[in-house]
Amino acid sequence: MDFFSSSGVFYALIAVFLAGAIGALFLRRKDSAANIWGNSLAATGSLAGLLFAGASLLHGSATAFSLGTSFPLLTLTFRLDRLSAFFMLTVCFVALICSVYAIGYVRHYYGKYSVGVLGFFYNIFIASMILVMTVHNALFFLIVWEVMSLASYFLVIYESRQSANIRAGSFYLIMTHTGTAFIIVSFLLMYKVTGSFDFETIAAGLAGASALMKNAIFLTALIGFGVKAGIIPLHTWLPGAHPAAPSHVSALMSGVMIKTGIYMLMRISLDILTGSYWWGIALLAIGAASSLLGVLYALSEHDLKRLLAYHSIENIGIILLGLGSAVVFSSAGMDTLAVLALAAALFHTLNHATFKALLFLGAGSVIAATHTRNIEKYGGLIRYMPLTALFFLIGAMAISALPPLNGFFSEWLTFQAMFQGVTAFGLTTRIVFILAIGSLAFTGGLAAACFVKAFGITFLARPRSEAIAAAREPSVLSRLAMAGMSAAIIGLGLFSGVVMRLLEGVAGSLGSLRGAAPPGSAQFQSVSIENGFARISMPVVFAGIAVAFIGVMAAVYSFTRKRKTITGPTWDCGTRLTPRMEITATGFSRSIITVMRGVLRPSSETEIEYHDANRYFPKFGTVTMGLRDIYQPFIYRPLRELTAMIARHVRKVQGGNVNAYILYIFLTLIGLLILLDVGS
Amino acid sequence: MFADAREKFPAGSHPANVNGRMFRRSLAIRLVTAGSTNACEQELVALGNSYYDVERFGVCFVASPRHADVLMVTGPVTRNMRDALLKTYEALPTPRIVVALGDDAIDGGLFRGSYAVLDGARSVIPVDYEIPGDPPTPTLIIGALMSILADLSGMQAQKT
Amino acid sequence: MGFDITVFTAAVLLHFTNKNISAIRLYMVQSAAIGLLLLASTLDRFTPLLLIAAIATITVKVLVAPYFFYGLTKRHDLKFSVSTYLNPPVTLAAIAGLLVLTQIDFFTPLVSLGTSEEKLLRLAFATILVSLLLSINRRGALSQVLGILSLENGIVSFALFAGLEQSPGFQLGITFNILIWVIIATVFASMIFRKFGSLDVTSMKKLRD
Repeated sequence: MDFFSSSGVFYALIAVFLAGAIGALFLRRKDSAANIWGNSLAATGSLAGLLFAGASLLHGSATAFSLGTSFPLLTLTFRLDRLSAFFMLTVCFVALICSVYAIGYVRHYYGKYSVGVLGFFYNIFIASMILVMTVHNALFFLIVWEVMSLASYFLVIYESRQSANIRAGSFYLIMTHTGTAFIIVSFLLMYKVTGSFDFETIAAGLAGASALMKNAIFLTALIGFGVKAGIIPLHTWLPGAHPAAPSHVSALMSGVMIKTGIYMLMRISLDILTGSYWWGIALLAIGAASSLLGVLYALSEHDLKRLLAYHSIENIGIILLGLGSAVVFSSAGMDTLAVLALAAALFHTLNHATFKALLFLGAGSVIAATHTRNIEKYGGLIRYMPLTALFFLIGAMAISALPPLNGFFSEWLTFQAMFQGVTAFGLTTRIVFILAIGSLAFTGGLAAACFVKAFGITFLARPRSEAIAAAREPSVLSRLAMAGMSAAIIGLGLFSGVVMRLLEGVAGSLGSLRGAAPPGSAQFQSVSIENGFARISMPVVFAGIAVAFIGVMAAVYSFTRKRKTITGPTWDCGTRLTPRMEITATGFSRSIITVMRGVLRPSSETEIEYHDANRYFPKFGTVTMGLRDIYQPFIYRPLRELTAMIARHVRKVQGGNVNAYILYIFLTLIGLLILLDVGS
Repeated sequence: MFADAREKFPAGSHPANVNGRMFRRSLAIRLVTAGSTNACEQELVALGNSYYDVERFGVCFVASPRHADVLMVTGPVTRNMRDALLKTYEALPTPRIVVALGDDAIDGGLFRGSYAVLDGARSVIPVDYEIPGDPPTPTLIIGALMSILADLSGMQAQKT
Repeated sequence: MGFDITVFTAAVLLHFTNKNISAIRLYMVQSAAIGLLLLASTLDRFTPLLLIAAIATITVKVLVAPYFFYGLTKRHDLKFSVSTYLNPPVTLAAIAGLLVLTQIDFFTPLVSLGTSEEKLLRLAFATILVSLLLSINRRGALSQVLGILSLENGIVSFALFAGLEQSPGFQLGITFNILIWVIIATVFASMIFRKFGSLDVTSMKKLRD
């Protein structure tokens, strides 16, 4: 165990990723070699990372190691406390599955795009995510953060022959750099107070900082990391960028990359700083808005991967509900409840990583088989890809929080944490918590509706396009990867009591929650919260569902065993049934969109062409339904116009005259000297 | 008055695969109009009004053959309706009972021998019961249905 | 002392020359003063690197560069503009202002670098500022280049009086500076060679087109 958590293993696994990256680049002339080299090394590195992080997590105490550099303020410090180890574990697990999947999946890029380049950026991307979760120096953090952003940017624009991807990538690049700017401001504020870029020193030094400074640090960090996490209204890059990348990368981006934002928000609001009340309320509000709006947008989406991307926003919202509750509890001194809420947030982080990755991998298999992302073109895929359908169903059930899968447990925990908030606080806070609970409940229902749509329209009924008939299951490795992820989802559901105990330890290790009593008892057999306020036993739930399932099957069998089954054609009232008669995704979600039109502002167009001038006999009709983008005109366009206006004024300064430029240098020099003099 | 009608029209013979308790004295009927003159339909419509009100006897007309116990055919079965009739018959769950309503449906009636018709339902599908008349009156139809029900349930007609 | 005043005076006079030739000569004089300063400090305390720096400075700045400029302006009829943005009285006022700025106790942190030669240090700094002003003020390319070169001389003299002449960094800096000079000149020459197929400067008349 100690061997795995040693620094040598860590350096070795980073080296493996680098070797994978560079080797893939060298092998780029031969696609299959680059594929196998890049992805198998990524899988190896991820496996090593999994062992390393797991050992560190079980080890309990934080391990730190560092490499010096000749630059001042920049030391390559790594520190694995339990929070880092937990997030690294999540990254490595998802990366392992995705890499195994990729070996089979990447084949369809052979001869179209350079597989070597994909392998290069893919390895760099995973390694940088691992580094983001483990570094302990703000400058170093910014460097690896930037590497992660750039690597993911290049993965987003990987299918570069589609101009939409380039557009999505550029928008992502701009947004992520805007976020990075805020992060830099946040770190510089920390530096200004503490004079150090080391997180440890910052945490110690910030204890006595003024409330204004802390608020400023939190706010800039919230915006900066919120962009990466995809909170509403900073989410606009996400539905464009995630679908554009190859699917195993989408799985990583949606499953774990956006969690880097969550990780840093947790670290800043509860570890480095001590949360204050309004931060928690703000996080709750953002979480409620993100979860509700995210799922509503997902419902109206017909692009399978965009739909999943919107669900990422929703789940980030759910995680933020947990985190926000934790901050509120922590600010009120209720550390035990804070641990409960944070454990819920952490659990949902892990769960979302698993089922969202699985869903993206399933979606990737479907898209690779059908060559379209429009779910209106799918249908009946369950007959051609039964295993993929099964895995997708497991993922869909987990994300819809259906028991006994893992999504159910973490949402249940989040609910319990917020119920505690209702009982523990006075009227105003209570109202906030009640509203948050309402939004989470509503979100859960809509998510289930959305995945009924996503699964039903994709896999059930009859094929709606010719391409479906040619659809085949993905390769063995891809199926194996999806099976592994499905097993993990079921396992996390079954063993959620054990995981919960581990996560309580993780939550309790954060700076402002250290030494908090655990919120009840978490065992494999049952989890009990706050002296029996709520109690759940996942094995019993499993057993109950299994018994009910077996009972129903047995009953059905015993009633029908004497009957003869005749298979015949569907009764079609004498007409011929065509796929056009099936319910469409638009039709399915239309009623909900219409109910929510105050929020979603749908644009609906109906076009009917008639046979006759009197308009009695319609020839055919088309209904187009879309959502108007409310973020562009109200937030982004004004910002853009402001920037353009400033730029127009700034342009006057740049006249193309060399003398003027030298004059600027001259004036700056004089100004700096005067400033230096005044300062001393 | 229905008792008279029942005695007058023993509509047909009991199908072999029907056991006594299967229909519980209730019939769900799917009607196929196979080239009828609409006369029979008028009488059938009358069955639903408040005077005759056939539903009080447990007889109802349903919208899909999947829901039906009985396939009722009217009209002499034109060539164009042959496939539709066959398909509907196949769509009926077993055990299925076929009732030909009116002289046209029994043997072609007025239209017998025409090039356009197939001379009754029997030429396309097996018919279990026949209700003669051109068209039969609602009273007759109800009486016939009652005797069919009684026959299917294995009961004596007089008891009901 | 004398050398430094020469350097400063040359920088001031560069502002008021109307001819390219005299500007080049002034630069030559300024560079010679710097070279001699360097040589003098070699006498003070000998290091081979410093000697190399001094000799390189004299060779490149006093001989090669002026010859190069001279050739450009004189023999090939390339007229560089010497017109300015500010008229001479305003220029003089600006120079005076800069001089005052350096002489008042404003730049204390800067001047405290070398306590022994404080006055010279202030003067050297004034040279830097005045040279920079030259680059800003002149419209012509050659004058601007001369302004930058003069600025460079000012920096060297500032470093000298700040007591940095013995530091290897400084000596390396000068040598490196000269090296850059040579590289730029070589690149320039080779570009001309590629463009015109000859280094015979007579064919460079086409440059005017």
